[in-house]
Amino acid sequence: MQLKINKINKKFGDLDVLVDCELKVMDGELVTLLGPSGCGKTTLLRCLAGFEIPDSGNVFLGNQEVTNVPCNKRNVGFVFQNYALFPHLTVAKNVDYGLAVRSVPSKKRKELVDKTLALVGLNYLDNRYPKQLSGGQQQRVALARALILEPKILLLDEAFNALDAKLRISMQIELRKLVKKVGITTICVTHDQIEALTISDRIAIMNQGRIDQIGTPSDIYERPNTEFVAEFLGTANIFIRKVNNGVVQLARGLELSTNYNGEVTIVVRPEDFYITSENCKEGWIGTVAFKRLLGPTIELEIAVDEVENLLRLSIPRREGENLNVGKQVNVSLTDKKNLVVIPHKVEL
Amino acid sequence: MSFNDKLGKFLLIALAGFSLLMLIVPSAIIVAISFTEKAYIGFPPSGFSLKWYSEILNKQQLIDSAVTSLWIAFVTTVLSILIGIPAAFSLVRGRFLGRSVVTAFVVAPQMLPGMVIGIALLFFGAYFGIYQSNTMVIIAMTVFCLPFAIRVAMARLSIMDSTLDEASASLGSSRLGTFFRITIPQMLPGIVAGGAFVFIEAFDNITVALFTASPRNRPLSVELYNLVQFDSSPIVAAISSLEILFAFLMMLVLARSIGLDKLRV
Amino acid sequence: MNAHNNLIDSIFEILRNIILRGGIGPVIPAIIFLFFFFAMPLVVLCAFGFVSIDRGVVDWTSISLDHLTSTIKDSLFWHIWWRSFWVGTVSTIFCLCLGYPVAYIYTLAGRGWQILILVATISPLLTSALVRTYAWMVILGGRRGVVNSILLDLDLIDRPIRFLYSDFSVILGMTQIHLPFMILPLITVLSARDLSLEQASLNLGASRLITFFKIIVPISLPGVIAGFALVFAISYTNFIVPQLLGGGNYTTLAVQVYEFIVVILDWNKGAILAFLLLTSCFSFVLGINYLGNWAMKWKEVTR
Repeated sequence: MQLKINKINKKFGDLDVLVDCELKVMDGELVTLLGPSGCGKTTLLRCLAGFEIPDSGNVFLGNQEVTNVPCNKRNVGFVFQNYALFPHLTVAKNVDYGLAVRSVPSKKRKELVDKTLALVGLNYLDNRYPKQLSGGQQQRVALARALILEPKILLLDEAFNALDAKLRISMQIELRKLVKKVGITTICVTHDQIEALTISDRIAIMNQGRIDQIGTPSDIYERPNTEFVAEFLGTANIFIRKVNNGVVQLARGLELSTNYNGEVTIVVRPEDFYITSENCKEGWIGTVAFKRLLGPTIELEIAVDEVENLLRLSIPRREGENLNVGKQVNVSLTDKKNLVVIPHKVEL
Repeated sequence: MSFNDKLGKFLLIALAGFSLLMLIVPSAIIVAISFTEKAYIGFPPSGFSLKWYSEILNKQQLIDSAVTSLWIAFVTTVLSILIGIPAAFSLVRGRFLGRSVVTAFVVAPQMLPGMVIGIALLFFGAYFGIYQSNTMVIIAMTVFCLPFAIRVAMARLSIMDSTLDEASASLGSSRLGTFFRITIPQMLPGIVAGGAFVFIEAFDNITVALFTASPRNRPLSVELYNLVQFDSSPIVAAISSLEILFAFLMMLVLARSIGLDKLRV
Repeated sequence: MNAHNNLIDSIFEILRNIILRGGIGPVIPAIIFLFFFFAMPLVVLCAFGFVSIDRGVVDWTSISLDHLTSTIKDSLFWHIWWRSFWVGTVSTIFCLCLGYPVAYIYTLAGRGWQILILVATISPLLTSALVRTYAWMVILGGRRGVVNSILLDLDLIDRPIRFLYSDFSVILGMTQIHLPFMILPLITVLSARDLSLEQASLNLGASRLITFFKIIVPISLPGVIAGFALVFAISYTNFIVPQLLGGGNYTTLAVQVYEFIVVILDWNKGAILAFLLLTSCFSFVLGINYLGNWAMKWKEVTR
């Protein structure tokens, strides 16, 4: 079902937790709210579930406004960070809980529980208690418990936090396959960019209660709207430069033309640099300050005299084998088109 | 919220309110009655006077028994702390075989009603030809109260960081300095709270004292036990009010030392 | 001077090592003290129920079960036992019904209300049970009792109602006096509960009432069992309240123990009754815990 959030504001005391949040999610789409802790993403999710009521603004599910509908009347699936499985009920009873309180006939309940447990691949564990399950199994029970009610949308709050690193990735892939198979509109909350990139159709980046940018993962990575987005998703080299007559000078011999005026931020991704040992007319000259191997790539930090920050580069492993700390190198750009230029807001 | 939810919420608040009133009101009534001018107990109390409080001072027997009780409470508290605190250290930090058995043994008296502890000591003494006395009350009270002192100290110790001692030593403090500057101050809230609890319990416990106190030199609780049954004047209310005041003072001590929400029975 | 300090230092080092690092050492005084003044007296108490005592002289050759068998063959004993049992059970159930809402509201309340609840719960705990029993004597008393005075003043009744010296007054007094022992364990368990479980239940469509009974109550079962066992044990063995609020003719097992030992001075009978009181009390507490563990088998499972 389609979800629309219209100018939601929420304060806790004097603190602005959500400021004019707007979001539209298509039917069957999987959107992730990504941001650092304290950015308001969980509060926004809880507003959708009805655990919090926004101070102003509206939430629409389909064509129906649900802003003030209490949380037990919304039929919105929610998977908690710790899964919140009822410890005193077996797996089957946990999954059955929503049906039981709705007084669904017991025969139909049994059928649905079996079917849903089969969907998440856990029907052999129906008589266990939550304490007897592994983290991954618990998460699947939580999903089954939410999905059995055929909710209008599915909400996941940091649902992969409790899993260890290896299991996390495989569960993320599994989750994406599952919700696509079911076809349910899904909103996830996370602070983990890898998770957001793995599961999302679109990502909404949140910062200090605002949604800074919404777009597909590659949109956001390639064309960040703000310096915050650029730095939060992936690694970014940030250059702040002045525009002179429509031209910005990034480095020696590297000029680009722009329509903006005043100051701009130029973002260069680490993989958009390349290194040559020959003297090169354009780019930077510096020395290698740090080097580490990250499997297929090598990350380098290059100290350059005229740039205040170290340049952070990512190059294929084989190209960097001889680049040890202290070695002098020339750095240049593979293609000027990959640069992102972000205009600075004019302070009023 | 549905109608049922509202009804449930109403019932919940009503029951909780009723319980709280029930906890507070009886004591409040006693305090109110203690200020009456009349020679008998009546409600609502008429007039305001402190004459029943001054009446207490005229009864030498009451003063004597209060002094006896304070002495019993004091010695019991000192004994409980002296025996209980080292025991708690050993039970929390020591590593030895059968630690859980020993722990169970030293907190066991708490599982028994005070009456049984009193009777057991009465019989035990009688078997060896020893009769009821203040010493017997003190011993029985210490048996009864020791588990409180040990448990409060254990709770305090288990949240204390033993590496602080080592940190202090590594910063050049002498052993003596470490013990007095680090270990004891950290332990103090537990000692104070446990001591306050033991003191008030030893002061006004009746079930232990009734069987172990000598008939000639009775503690206040036993005296009060007789007054309650045979004296209908408001002087009993005045004594009770003083005990209630005393309980509030002890509660302040507990609140300042470990905090009321940390208290476990 | 320096040597002197070093000496004190090393003495303290030894003391400190005994206290802080030492194994069983510091607990030995407590063990000895309790062995002589708790364990042995308890053995003597039980033993007194199985031997003959004549004028304080114990005849150890007369060991028999006579006292025990004659006591449990006596139908009066069972009559009195039954009263102890049902009065204790009923007042424990009342404590639970009155204490649970207080503990639950404590977890939802703001700091101010929390402090009020703690003060209201702990201050009676520190006040002598005797004083609080006395309060009920004053409240429930005859013509000059608080309740009767008010009812008479309002002309709601012509003659004072007899509240005192009945099952009613005993149960009321016991319930009020033991209420703090129920509230505190419940506060401990309910404060530690995971609030996301309730939100999950609401999210799955349950009403608040259903959530309370299907989620919150089962989760807090450990506290309920602990409080129930504790309050039952102290109600079952309380003899002050039945004596003072029940009156001269009102006996329970605990009152009988007191009367045989202090008033009648029949220590044989008193000892065997105390022995039966203690063992039956322990059996009930074990039974309550067993039922509790059965109801909480979900807590025991492991992966």
